[in-house]
Amino acid sequence: MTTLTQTDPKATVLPLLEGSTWPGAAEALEQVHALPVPTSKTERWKYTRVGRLFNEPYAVPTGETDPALPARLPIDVTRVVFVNGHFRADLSDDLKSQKGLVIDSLKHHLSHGPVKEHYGTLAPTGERLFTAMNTAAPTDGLILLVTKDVKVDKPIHVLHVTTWERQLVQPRDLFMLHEGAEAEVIIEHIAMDTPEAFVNSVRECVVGESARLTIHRLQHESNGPANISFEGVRVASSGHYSLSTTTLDGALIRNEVKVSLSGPEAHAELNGVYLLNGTTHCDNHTYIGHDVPDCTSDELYKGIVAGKGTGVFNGKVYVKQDAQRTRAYQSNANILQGDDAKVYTKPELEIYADDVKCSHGCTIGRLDEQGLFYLRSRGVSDAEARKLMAHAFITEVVERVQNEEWKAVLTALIDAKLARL
Amino acid sequence: MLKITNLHANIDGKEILKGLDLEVKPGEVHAIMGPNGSGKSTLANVLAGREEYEVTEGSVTYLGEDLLELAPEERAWKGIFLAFQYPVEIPGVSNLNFLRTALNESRKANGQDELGGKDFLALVREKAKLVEMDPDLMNRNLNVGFSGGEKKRNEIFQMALLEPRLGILDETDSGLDIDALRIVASGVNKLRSTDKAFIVVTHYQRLLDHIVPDVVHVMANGRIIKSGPKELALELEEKGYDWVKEIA
Repeated sequence: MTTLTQTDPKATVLPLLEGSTWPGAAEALEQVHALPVPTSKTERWKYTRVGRLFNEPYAVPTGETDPALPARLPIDVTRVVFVNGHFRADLSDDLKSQKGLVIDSLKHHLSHGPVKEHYGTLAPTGERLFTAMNTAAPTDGLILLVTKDVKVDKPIHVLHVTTWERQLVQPRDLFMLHEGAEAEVIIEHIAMDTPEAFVNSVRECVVGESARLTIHRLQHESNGPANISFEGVRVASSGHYSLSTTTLDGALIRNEVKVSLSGPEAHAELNGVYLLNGTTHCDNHTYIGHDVPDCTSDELYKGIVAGKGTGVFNGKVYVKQDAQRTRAYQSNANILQGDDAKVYTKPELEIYADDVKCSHGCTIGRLDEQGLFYLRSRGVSDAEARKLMAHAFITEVVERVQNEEWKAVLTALIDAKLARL
Repeated sequence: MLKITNLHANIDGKEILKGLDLEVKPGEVHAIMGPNGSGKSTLANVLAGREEYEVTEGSVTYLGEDLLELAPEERAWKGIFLAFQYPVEIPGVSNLNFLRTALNESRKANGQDELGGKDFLALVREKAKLVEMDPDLMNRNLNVGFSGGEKKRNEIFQMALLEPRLGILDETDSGLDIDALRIVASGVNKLRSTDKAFIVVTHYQRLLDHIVPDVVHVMANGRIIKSGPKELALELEEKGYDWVKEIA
């Protein structure tokens, strides 16, 4: 009798994950060994193929390279730079200018009390291969600790630069906002023409009582790496968590966010824009757990998918039996352009409480023909009319951004992308 | 200026226009009246180039050119303007931004320089007066949250700004109270000139008290069945459309 032995497809990454001294790394590595690579049969990965990410070996990333950084944002921010996942103090702004605030490399704070208390609590490795991979060997990441009632005086701009091909970069962030604290973070990924690189991020956010955390993610890595991320969030009573994700370019993108509203009157707002062409594949996976009464959540994702692009949206809202007076809204709207673009959308509501107000909906369509004709009949060319209508379609999401300066930056980037769709 | 010969047009396979003839000369105002479903709005939309309507037979010549070969925006650049019966609301597009794009694309197509921001705003202020339009509406999103009357005024305001050679008003009077009707009509009257023409599509005679036509046409069953001087409109008002249906 002969036994067929099959090599583990993860063999291409396993050597990179060994020997890390981060908390929970050893257990996570065992999980990596145990968990299979998701296939189309894995419900959570049904429309996003990741098998090819494991086809060839990767290199360990190094931060010892000096990339040409892009011009600063035209707004006043504190910039923090990571190169291939490694924190670069020399390229970052002064991070110690405000009291009651820690902005630093997470690696330097692993033994500190608050990090020990929260690290790993919101990013379970049991079912998620990529979260387990990240936990087994994080590259480095950002610690953001905002103490009681401190309001961070300007947005923090986290710039992740990827410079080499076929490396596995694993950013690992931990954001902790104490009671009444406020912070706004812009997280931007750019790539210096690095096809086949693999960025696998995990971020945990602990939003304290009456604290406000606003995160803007900007993904515009042309010809960039696969970018897979998991964000685990817990919001305490009257806390406010807002995430807006704007995807303009990339190869394979998966954004998963799991929010637990764990105190009364906690609020979560998730907004997303994706403008896809070429062969870009973008998968937004959201989960909002209404664990206690009187919480609210509002979710709006809109995308335009052209060329051979693929958009995936899977949003789940889970309302526990005790979570009375929950209000939860979710909407996903898509415009398809051309015959080769694809959209898969699946909104899900699971409600066990009886006194709730919830809605969800999804649409897939084309640009409004009536509107197009109206504009053209006034002398706006077909191309320009399409741009205006596309802008009009997306603007509902962008309007939700409170920071007017950032909204202007985002609008310009979106319009530039719309002109290329 | 405009010559329509034996025009047939379908929508969703159903024939709406069934051999329509019409000639409009510069300086003239033509009223097109008729019962619901007679094809009045279809005619207006076909002239503006709406793609859902399929022209199956006949010809439309505008300023010596085959109009049916032109895209909607090209027709606009050559001076055709359709004031919609139901102006479309477009959230996220500001009234002014859209108009500036429309005006400048048209100027570019006609070999004129684009208007700068300052000149454009001066023009906007001048034309807004014509229809007594609230300047606050200018910065709002296109038709969003406008009342029925405001939407119709916005149509005439846009017409004033774009200065078409041939203005087509599709039931502009529907949903207007008498004050709004007067304002809209006086806006149109101020635009009348010897080199411009108008086609006024309406169900009721009352608009024609304010915009006095040179010719009145009666449409029924996809064709013009009777044409006459402005008094024909009064006759229609008096007798209703039943006799028209009998002729058709």
